[in-house]
Amino acid sequence: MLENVLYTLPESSLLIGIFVLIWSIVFSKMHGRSAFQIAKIFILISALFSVLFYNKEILSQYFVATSYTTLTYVFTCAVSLIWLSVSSKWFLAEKTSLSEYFCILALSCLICLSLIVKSVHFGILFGLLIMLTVFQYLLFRFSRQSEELYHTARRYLLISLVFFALFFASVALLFPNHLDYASAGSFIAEVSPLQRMFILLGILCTLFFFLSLAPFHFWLSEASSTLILPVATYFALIPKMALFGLFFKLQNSVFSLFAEPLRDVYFVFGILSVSFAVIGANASRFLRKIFTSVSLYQAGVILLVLSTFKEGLISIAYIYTEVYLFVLLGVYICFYAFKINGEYPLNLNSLKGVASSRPYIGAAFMLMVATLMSLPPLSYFMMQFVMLSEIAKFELIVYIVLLGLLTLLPVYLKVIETVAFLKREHNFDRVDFGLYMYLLLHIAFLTVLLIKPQILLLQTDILLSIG
Amino acid sequence: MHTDYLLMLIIFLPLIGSIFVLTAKDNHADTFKNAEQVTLLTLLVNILLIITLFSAKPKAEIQADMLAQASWHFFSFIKFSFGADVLALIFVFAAQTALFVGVFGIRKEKQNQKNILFYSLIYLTFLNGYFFALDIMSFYICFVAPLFPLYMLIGYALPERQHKILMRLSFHHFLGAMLLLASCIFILSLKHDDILLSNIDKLHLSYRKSLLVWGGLFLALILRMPVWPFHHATTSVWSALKNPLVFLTLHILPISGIYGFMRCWPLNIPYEISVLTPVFQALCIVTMIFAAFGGYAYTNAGHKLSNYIFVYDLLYLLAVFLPTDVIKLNIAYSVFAFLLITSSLVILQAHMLRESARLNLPVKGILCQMPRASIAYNLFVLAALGLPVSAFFGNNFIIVSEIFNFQLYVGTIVVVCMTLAAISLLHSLYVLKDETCVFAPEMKIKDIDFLSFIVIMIVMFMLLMSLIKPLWFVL
Repeated sequence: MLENVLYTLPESSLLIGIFVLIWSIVFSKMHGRSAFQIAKIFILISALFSVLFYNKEILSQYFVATSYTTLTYVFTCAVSLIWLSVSSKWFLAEKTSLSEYFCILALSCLICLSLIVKSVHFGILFGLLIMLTVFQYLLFRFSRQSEELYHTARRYLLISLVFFALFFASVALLFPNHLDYASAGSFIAEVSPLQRMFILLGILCTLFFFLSLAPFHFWLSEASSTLILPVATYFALIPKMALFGLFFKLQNSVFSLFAEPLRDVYFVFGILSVSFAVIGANASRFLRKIFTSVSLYQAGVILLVLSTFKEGLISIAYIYTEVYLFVLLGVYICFYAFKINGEYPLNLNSLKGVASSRPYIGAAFMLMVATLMSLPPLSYFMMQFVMLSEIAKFELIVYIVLLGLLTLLPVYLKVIETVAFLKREHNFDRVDFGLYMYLLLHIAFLTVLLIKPQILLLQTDILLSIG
Repeated sequence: MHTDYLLMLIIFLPLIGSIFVLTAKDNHADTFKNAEQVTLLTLLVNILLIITLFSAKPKAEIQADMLAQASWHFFSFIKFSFGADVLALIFVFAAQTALFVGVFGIRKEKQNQKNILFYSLIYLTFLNGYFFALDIMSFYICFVAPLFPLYMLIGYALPERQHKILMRLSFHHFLGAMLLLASCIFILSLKHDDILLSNIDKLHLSYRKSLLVWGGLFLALILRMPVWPFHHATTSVWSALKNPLVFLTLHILPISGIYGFMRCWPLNIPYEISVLTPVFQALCIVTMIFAAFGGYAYTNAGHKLSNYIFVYDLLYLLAVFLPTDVIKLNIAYSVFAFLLITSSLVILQAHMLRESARLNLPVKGILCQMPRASIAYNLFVLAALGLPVSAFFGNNFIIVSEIFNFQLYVGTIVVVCMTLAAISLLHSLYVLKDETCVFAPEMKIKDIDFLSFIVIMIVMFMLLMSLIKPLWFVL
């Protein structure tokens, strides 16, 4: 009994954190920063217990903890810690009293993501996704109230319901005996081709919606500029890290059995994502929209690569995802550092000449952009190179990925031009010392990856026992 | 002598120097002085190291002509290999010396000097790596890596309204980078090991792969050259650049393209590409004719020099495509002299333009008021014309002879274009030394400073000595 309680500690510690925060709201008036500190402490505890019980779980018919799920969750926790740290600076600057509610929502989302990563049962996954959607909707509503955001949030909820209906219909076909991933695969293989495609597409489209892959990406790209910065950061990084983990797990255990029908599906979604990303990034002057499009491109690349269904690609795609999300985290930390008269700029033009006013932040931002440009010998290039080398036989995909990168190039160059060469038009506020430290740590880690990229690929097969 | 360590030091010394340049304080009055001194010291030490490496004995156990080699594993299957032979060393030596001279050209500049020196050293690090690269992976990385510092350099030097041409130029460069990346991926997929540049043509590629690999490689390198239809971006940026050091960094880029062809392009051009050779030659020739006549469309000495450089870049490009490798070293010696001559001319012109802008005077006849600059400019224009005062003359003679040997018509057009470019340059000298232009005595036109003059004269001395023996400085 006690053992079982211990194994739930990664999630129950987060739950305790929520209770502590609720307690503080009801019974004591807490300082805004304290709420974030409590949330961070409980996330740290959760991550530590997750590592400690890396292969232990309860209800093993629904959840299975492996080194892969632990690694994914620890990554998510690490990014969440940084996210909450930089978000606390936003809340302090805005002098809002809603920090506790924000932290409760953050911990709730993290519980859902932890369970989603561990889940091996479509029924449970369905329930968890509904819970996650509700919490994410509340995060949406948490942002500044505006007519535009209200509509976007409502649209998000409505479209989520449509996808849940689709997912439910697919899962219903697996009911009652084939809901776990292992038997679902063999069951789907036996049904008629039409039914098979229906089930697979139902699950995949729902996942793609949550990963905001084209053409289901509009909810995020539309909202990115209207959401408050902490919420925008959350949507850009945290769920993606965990949900990509889930997607790779499903790819390994279920989808890999259906290479033939899914090859074209992946290819089409991949092409659409790359195309929408390129158009979106080139057409927009909104900073967050640009980087949401960049993220969409990366997701498209992963789908295109996986469409080859080549063995051993999942590990590489997984590490590639972690690296690009890590670089994107650096971009978002820079966003917290760019502040003009207390406002966080949304338009790229507002950043004119920021490097002359804030040289270190400007340089760090340019480094992140240069990394996303896939410039050698930076770590992101190395991962992309390794991934493309694996699929060299599929020339068309290699050229599509590179063409996408090339068409994104004017956007990156424009960003660098605005930051470095154009004359400053605004006075940028003093940057919090903590942000400098986070950026320094971030760049230090990127440098380590540059000098010793082996640490990324070290014994991945053993480390990532996805199945 | 541990030549392998020496090789790595030559590659990474500019990177170390750049860190020192970066740490120079911004608000200090002597910031630029410190940054400049660090840069000059770094380049000088590197030049001395290169001369030392020239004297090393070839390591027969590596490759017959290799003076040094160093390599390390990046991933388990990616190995970076760098090696120095005489050919690579000449190019590296030329690049360091050109930038060393170029630094003297920006001593009076006030804007973004620290940034420009910082990125110049980063650029040089990767450029050195590019010249020393032995395998395809190192070659690709050092092919692409200088593009970012180059973008930053040009961005700092160009006025805001001309950033569109920078965008176009960068797009060309990165398009080449993507094509080369695709080629590298296809090559490395055949053999998960380090593939030496000299062995690419020995790989067994299918017709389709061969087309993709060789076509990609060819386009990647050609996109660095000012050949039609890609010439406009390069020449526009050349014309717009006022900063001599940045001009020189961009000027080295087509030279790196030529070097790339010398290293990667096989003697027997693959059949898939060879069918296009006459078309390519025709493009080169037509571009060369336009470039040669282009010099007459402007009165500006800077434009004339740009067109002169343009013509010579195409001459080297035609030379590397000849089906012989006996003139490889001649091309290298000629490029070495060419870079030294043009870098000296560039900084002299920059000084004249600066004085002309400061006093609001025309440049016509300005050299008459600058005795030191006048001597230097005269000597370098004479060398640039191809008169027998440097190795430039002898090696160009051999290159043109070989072109005549293989293609008589092409050779004839090349000689005509070279003559036209030389006359255009001579005309610029005539305008700058026009004695009919009288300047009021109260206009105190400053001559080039003594230190810069000494450096330029040392460069002239190097060129003169190279007429007798190209590697005269090797012990």
